Amino acid sequence: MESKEVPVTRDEDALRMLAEVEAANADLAERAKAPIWYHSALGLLMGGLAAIQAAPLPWQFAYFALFGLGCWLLVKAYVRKTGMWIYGYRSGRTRIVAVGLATLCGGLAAVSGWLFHMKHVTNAPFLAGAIIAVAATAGGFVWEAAFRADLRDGTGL
Amino acid sequence: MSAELDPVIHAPNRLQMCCMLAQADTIDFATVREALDVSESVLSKHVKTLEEAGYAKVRKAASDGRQRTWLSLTPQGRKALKGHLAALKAMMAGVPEA
Repeated sequence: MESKEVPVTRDEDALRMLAEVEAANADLAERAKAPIWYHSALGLLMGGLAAIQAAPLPWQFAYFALFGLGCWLLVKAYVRKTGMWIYGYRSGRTRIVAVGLATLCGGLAAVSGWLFHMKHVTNAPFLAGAIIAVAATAGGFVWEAAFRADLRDGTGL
Repeated sequence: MSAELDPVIHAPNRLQMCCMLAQADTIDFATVREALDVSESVLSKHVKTLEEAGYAKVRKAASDGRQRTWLSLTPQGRKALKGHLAALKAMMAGVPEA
């Protein structure tokens, strides 16, 4: 199908072109949906980062390698399903969600590490890990909703 | 940001492609082709036009054992798209609500 060049610049054409922009964004919103298990898997990996603070150092290093491998596999799975990659911290509502989530998870992990090492609260990393896993899973779905909202009103260009 | 129509972006398929690329970091050629419902040769021409204008970047990389072509919008392309969309919205000022 050969596309036509459009030299006309009437108001009606502008309306039609903007409708096409909306259609492209709606199509992208559908295509950009992650696999259903994606956010849960990422949540578990992130929760594990906090929980592993309670384990001996060699286990922590082993988990870091597992975390890296897990993230790599998640990226591959996302790209294979959607045919695209979207930076999590892209501008728009999505950046607010991503920064908020990173701050919450990083803060919880830091506090749990401090409680474990300095105050000897042995279950703090596990509790923080569980909260982070749930928050990151829910946050993933919130991020997707924010992305769809950005696409609807053209935010984040 | 100048609110003028950009002739490179104004073709419907290129406008849609730029909008898709503006919202993602990189999109597979096959995904864009499917979304626009055009042939490979038609999309290649559009990509070449955008690439020659400095609006799009093309990268080839192996993925899952096959060569895939990845498209992304350059900062120059993003700026041009923003100007083009602003011009379209400005033109709509005289259009009554449907």
